[in-house]
Amino acid sequence: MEIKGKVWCMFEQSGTFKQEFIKLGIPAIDLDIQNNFGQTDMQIDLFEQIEKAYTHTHTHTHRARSIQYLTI
Amino acid sequence: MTEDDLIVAFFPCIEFSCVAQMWFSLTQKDYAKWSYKQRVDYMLEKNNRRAYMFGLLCKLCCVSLVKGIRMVFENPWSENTYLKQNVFLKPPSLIDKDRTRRGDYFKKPTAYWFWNCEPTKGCTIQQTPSIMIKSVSLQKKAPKAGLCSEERSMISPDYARNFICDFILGKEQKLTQLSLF
Repeated sequence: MEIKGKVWCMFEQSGTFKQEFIKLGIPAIDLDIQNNFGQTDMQIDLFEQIEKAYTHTHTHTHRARSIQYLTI
Repeated sequence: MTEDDLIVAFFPCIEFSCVAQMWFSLTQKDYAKWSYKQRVDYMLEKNNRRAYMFGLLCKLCCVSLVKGIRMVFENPWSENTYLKQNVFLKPPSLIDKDRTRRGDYFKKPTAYWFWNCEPTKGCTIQQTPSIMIKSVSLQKKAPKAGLCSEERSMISPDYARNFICDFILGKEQKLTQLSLF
């Protein structure tokens, strides 16, 4: 897939993926409620943010996309 | 966030883990000194916590779907995790049965759900030498029950890069296996 924006890496271990995206030339930030390693870009209560986003989400119909199932 | 972005979420798995299922057995060894009421009270507390986390995950997926934001979230897929045992929104988009094949420290079967996007089909082989493969059960536990151990959650940079190239970007690397057809 093409990523024209940035990658938002959330929760634990997000820093590892963030660094690899950046090395591949894709802007990325990591978000977590903790900042144990001093590398979290945005220390934020993700649970609260999800609840807020869900509360403010307007319902409208979405056509179900086809589901692919791949085991590797 | 916009539709040009991508969310990659390592959603907290402690409440869904197969080990957490043990808390719902009356004969769990940590309950040895507890009364039946204490055990059931604790089970109800664990059940509420798990229900909250499950609801939060569903809400996150809903927000992604409705807003059209692409998202990949991961959760363990070994033994009988809660998401594996029960019906959850949709089946995983892909399951990595052995992460050491792409350079991770652990074998740790892991499922990935892709929302508003599909995984690309790369195949990078970077087998971790057996001497460097770790066992989850031998890693340091979390400082207290209910938390996820950092050592057990560790992902190697090699695995992260290989996963991104194989399943998100569809980018060929030096170790990418080309298909015959």
